Amino acid sequence: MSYNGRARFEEIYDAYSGAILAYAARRTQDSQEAADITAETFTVAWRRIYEVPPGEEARPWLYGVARKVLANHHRGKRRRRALDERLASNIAGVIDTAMVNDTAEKSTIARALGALSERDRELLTLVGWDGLARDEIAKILGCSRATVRLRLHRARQRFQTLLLEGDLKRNPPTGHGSGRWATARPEQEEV
Amino acid sequence: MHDDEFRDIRTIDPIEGDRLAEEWASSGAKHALFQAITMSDAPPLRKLHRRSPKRLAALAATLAVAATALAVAGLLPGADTPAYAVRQLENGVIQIENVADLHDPSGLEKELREFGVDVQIVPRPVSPSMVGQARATTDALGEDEPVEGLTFGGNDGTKGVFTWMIDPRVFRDRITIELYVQADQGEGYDVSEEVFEPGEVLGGLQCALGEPLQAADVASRLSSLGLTAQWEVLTAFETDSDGGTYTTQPSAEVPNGQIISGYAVDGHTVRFEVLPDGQAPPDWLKPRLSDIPCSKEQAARWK
Repeated sequence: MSYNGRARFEEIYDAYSGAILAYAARRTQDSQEAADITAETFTVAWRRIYEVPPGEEARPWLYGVARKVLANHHRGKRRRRALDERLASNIAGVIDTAMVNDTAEKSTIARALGALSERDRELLTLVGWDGLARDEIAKILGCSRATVRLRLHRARQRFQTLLLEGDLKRNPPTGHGSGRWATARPEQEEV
Repeated sequence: MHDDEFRDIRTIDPIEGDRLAEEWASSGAKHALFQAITMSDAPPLRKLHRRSPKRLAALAATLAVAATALAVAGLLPGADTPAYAVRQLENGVIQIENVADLHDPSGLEKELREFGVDVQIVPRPVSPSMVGQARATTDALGEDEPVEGLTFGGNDGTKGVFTWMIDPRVFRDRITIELYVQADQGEGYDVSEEVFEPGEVLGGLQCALGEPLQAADVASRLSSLGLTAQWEVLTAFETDSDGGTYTTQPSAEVPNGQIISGYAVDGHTVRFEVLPDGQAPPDWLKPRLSDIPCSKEQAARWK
């Protein structure tokens, strides 16, 4: 049976490009950078279309690529511009219509989230914002589902503690994530 | 754990996901990005076993029968295997097939000019995973702009065989196509993918050895693979508003430290950049070994 790579790419692009755009927009400081990350992610998918897993397994695969592309983007000079200015602006315009302004800075919840480690924050937002399931997150992070469950549980506990304590002066946000929120940053896996 | 527990986090989502999805689905930007990716970058190549020359010839013969108006086949030097096939479809579109091994493009350029398409084809020897890809530019558009009327893709699933579709009705400018071809023995690569990407000589090694990837661990495997290393050690970093830059210095010895990048210079030589042990790198400098998440299959190659 022949397999049409272009049709498969069109399928995953249609199904998941919006989700990847949202993922990038939530974690970068400007919308054009989010557009770039989305473009790079799907360029990798296009180049590797025959390595994209079948069916809905493409979704965590794409998030995994996007996560690496996002991390690469925070390496300054080493990143490359994926889009021309006009297309990047058009995509940024779409993102801007869906932005929620100011909530993040004012909210106690947001401050607690900001005070967490990058890894905790990434886990919690993958569930809370991106709506990903535990097994999908396991694939994205390259660890077992049990590990994800455990890490999520611990992250959630730390988050609750910060919320309850409300003493964020002693635990200020680290501030080195250059995104609106967390910087996806692949780390060594816990065993 | 129920996702209701994440309700509080959802309240501070900086993006209205549903709204973004709606806007994106109806925006012209979604289609424009799709076009930009599929027209200006690499064509999808299915990674299957390379066909034997006999089968390649059989395929070309089949396509020639299917051609409706005109079919022309170029020959590989010293062989009776078609290197490429050009044909014009009923709708006027010109289709070119079997060009991945095309090192001498003059015949194809001439045939395309007879169709009214002014093309300059520049073969570029590249690292293994990039063979068969192509990049198109025009004088008017410049590099990395999508070229209207030209589509890469539509291959039949065999690596080394793919199709270009050039529509002369919308194609006006002189076009330059950089065709990524397999390097000859000893020939240097013009373009290289990162050496730890799937399909490259050390593809997936980081998945088997784990990251950070130590230079010594990689070095011990190179000779059995017939590879020689060029080591570059990072010596200084400079942080600026856009991230930063770094400098390197060649090292004759295997450095003690972690590899932050590597790429093949040719079929037998790989250049590695190494962050020495004890150096605290700035935030913006992280290893870039592969854009593809590790899988068991990648790691299995090295067991």
